[in-house]
Amino acid sequence: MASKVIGKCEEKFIIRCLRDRQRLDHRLPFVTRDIKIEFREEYGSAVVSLGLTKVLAQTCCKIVKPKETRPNEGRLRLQLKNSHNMVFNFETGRQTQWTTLMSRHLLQNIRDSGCVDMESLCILAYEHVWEISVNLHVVDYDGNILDCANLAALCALAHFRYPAVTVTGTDVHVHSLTERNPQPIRILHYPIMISFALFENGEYMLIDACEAEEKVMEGLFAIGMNQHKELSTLAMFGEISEEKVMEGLFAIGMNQHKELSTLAMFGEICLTRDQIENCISLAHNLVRDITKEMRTHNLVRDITKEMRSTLEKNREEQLQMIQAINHR
Amino acid sequence: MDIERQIDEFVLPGDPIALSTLPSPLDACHSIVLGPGLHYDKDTNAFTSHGCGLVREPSSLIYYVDGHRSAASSLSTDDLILGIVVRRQLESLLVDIGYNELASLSLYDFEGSTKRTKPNVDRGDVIYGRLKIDGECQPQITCVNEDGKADGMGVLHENGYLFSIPIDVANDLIHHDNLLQELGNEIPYEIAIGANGRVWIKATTTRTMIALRKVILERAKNKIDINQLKTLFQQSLVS
Repeated sequence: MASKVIGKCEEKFIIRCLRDRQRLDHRLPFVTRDIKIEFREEYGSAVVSLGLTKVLAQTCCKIVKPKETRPNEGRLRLQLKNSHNMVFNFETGRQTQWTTLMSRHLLQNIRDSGCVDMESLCILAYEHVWEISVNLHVVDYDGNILDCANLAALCALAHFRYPAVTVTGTDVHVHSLTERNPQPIRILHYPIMISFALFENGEYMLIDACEAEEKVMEGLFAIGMNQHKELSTLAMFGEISEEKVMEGLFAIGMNQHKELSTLAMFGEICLTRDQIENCISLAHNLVRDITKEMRTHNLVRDITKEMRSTLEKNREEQLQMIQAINHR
Repeated sequence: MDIERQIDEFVLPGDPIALSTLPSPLDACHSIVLGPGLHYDKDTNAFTSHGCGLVREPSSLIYYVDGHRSAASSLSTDDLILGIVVRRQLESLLVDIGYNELASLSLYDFEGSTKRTKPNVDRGDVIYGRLKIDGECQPQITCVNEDGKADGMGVLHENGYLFSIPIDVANDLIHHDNLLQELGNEIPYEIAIGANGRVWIKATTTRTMIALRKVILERAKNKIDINQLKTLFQQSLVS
């Protein structure tokens, strides 16, 4: 897919493995790789590994003027930056295209699904709102950036704390971290993306393709959903036919409550309605597990308490040092 | 902060190196052989490292930097390499060997190829051939010996699998193949290793090929001993 020349033997081998129901790392077809989430010292900084693929997410905030069409909502920015490992897989120029496409889908998944409560980020309507920027860097590439980056962005947003603000009339006073505890962002649900790599015109599907499988795949089908089976994104890259997908869409429209926020299609691989429904139920199981893991994984830790205690420790140490100097 | 590094120490590009037995530069009987990653400056009589890794002295007066190398700095003429055909032109093929530019392979450089019977090679085929590279002209590949015989070179079967490993590991495997022989005692398989860091394997079942690939990649990651690799192989075959 949009890559440099691939050996015929590589393609043939992966398809033969699929026919024998095998994968290069002995996984079952609908199992993701190990997910490791590591939260770093600064608020909003997380490194998520999906097998060997690693994405680093860092969050920062600043106060800006809101959009004119939405004067009482905060803003969210997301940027995905590539690693040079990927250069070897893509022809010149195509890598940036691929990255921008993925960036767009990530942003749609996180912003347009309404997972972040934008109204809570408003400070003074029409004047001041918080703008949260998430910067994603691909540290190591071994296939499936979309899922990994999405998870990293979600973890970073969940981990992030922005300073408390008091508004008196039209005066806005931002409290420093020592004056008042910083506040977490209100996240209403976690829209996790699961990508399906498609082979042989949709006949074979794999979840979470590694690099060797991703080089050879014909199309990519990504579903973003939260644990309540509400879809936030349906994205297809590669060659997928419009008619078949529209049929599939119709069935999906009937059994969920939220509207789809994204549907992107290119080209022609046929995915029938049954296949899409299958994908959705498979994805749902995975998403439930991943959300559970995220929740129990350090998010509950009270980080401000830790910060307070380290500050106090430093003060005590300084006092001791001063006393020691005085005694000499 | 320019500490001179000794043998078996880790160096970064630009580090000066103190080589242990340095004959005087005017001594005509002895000559130092500098391998990849080292550079000698005549004016200042200093050795600096151009690569990352450990400085090694495999035998007296021969030195090199042992670490991951890129194809651009380590490919040389007469290396056997694996390439993928990118384009077929009228009388030659353009082959990707992981270098800065594509290599050229004349269609007449195959065994038994004449003007009337050119080989059936196209985009995506894997080639095993001998490299001729000099850093200035386009690199060239040939798939025949001086006497016109293929001797194992040429287009490799498309039921194999091609993957990449670091170049220094590939060179290691080419010269010390204990692991490969041991694996051969377990199951029959075919393997071709390119000095540009590519490996092509072929075995009877996909399961065996996946296990082989796993063992070679594990060997590439860290140098664990052969018995552990053999047990890993057995486990992969079963799982």
